[in-house]
Amino acid sequence: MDTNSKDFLDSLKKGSEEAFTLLYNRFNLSLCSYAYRILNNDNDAKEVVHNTFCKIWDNRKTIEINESLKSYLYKSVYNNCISHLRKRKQFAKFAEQGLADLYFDRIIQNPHAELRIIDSETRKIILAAIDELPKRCREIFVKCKIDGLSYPEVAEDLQISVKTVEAQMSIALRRLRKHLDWLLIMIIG
Amino acid sequence: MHMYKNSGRNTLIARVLSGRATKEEILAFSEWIKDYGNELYFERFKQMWHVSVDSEYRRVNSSFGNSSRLIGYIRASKRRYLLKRVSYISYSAAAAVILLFGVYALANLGRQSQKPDLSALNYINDSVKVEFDNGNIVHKVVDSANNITNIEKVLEEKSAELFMKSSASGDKAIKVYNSITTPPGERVVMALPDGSKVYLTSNSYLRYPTQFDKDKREVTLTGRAYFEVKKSTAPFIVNTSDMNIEVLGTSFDVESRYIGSNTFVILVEGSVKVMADGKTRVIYPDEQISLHRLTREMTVKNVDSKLLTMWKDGVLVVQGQSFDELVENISSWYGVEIINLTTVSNRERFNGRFDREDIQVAIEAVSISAKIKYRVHEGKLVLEDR
Repeated sequence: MDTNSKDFLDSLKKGSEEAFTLLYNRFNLSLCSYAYRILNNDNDAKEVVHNTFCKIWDNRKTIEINESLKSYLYKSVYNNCISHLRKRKQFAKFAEQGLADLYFDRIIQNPHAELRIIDSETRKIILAAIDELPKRCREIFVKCKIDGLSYPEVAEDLQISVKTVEAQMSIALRRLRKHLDWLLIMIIG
Repeated sequence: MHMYKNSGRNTLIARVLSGRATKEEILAFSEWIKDYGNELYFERFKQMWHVSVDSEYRRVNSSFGNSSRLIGYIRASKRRYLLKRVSYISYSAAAAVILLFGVYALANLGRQSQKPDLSALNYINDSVKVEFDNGNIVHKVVDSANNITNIEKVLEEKSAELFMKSSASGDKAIKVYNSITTPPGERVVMALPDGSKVYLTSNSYLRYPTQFDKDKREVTLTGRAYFEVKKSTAPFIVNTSDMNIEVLGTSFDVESRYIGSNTFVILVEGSVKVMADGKTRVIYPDEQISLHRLTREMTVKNVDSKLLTMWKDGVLVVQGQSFDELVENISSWYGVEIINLTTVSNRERFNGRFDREDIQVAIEAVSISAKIKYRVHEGKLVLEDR
């Protein structure tokens, strides 16, 4: 069933459990992932998404959706994340230095950017390239490039030598560069 | 080299995006991004970062989430039984039950008049015990169950006395240890010889020397304690039966008991090194490392460290606990004996917080959420199926 159709929206409004289950199964994981990247906390991310679904259920009769259901979901999750964020330590670190705007404008992924990237070619290419890395290699790459850990930190974390981390990283970079030349030539360094 | 130069800034960006950046790094980043070229670079990196994290997230969570929790919510709301959602439970298999706390819950259900009388409840009468190595024992009786007792004064007086004795007999070189034992229902806060602060929750034991060594500060813990360690070049080491924790200066929460399946450390700020079974792990703020006592499996997850360490401020926080754990927790926190005759499934998980509430409010909340009833029998609290 097309979750963007008018019929689907109508069955949501009528309170069809089936429609809500379908909506949940289709979007829950993607929305949790999105919320996680805003909040950097898995439990909170899942809570926010769950609450978003519950809120939609509570307001199903009066809800006004003038765009696609998908973008409505992403915007709702975004808004709920933002109100959650204001209570958090990481946000306070920006706010105390007068950098709240920088945080909201630049750091946080807004729903438009998220929706744009979800279906993009770029995403497919990056995913394919990362997926092709051997498991250990990917793990180290993720720790360095995604979590922002230094080589010694990764070495300590995984109980391996710094030399191994360096070696694995250079394998990862060599392989990725082959696929992602145009995007990563500067980023990956 | 070009590669090396990039690596530093990439680390900085990754730390900013993953919420790990310190204030200094945030400031450095805010200056760096003012440059137009850097801004473009950042946008590209960010794209790459989001896609990679997304893919990792899906990999880890692929088995997570069926719609049962949402359906549960939908059905409950249809029965006009509107639970207030408190927090999410990550155990996907377990049905989540949410505790309703406070006056809100009571007012909504309007059953105040039928509440069982708790006045006949016995409170466990042990007091905080401070023990010195010469066998001297000091009991400090406190009557208010919710406040943390500051025992610094008792310690100061006694240590001074002891110090006089030991210097009089000239055996300064002998290391003297103090130990603190807290009974159920009591919590204490105190300062260690180096000025570090320790909060000790109920049912816990802490042993430390009256004077730390020059090269290390070592204490032994059974139970749960929150440490605010004074910065120093001498590492601060907490020994527990399952793991050793080493830090230089930071705030963290440790629980290690002989009962219970996990030993864990929650980090609030700084970084700590956790050593167990010959392995070493480093954790970062808002991370919790758990060691399963039987499987010896070590896991690290992200948590809200501020929330989970609120017990030191007199707030009992329950997150993802089974009914047995919840009962044990309440028994220990309020210092009452509880007999659990219910058949509440151990797959159910409970969340919630008790903001300095008395036991009646707490137990009322539990009985509403878990659909049980309670009464007092021979001074003990008895829980039964409704």
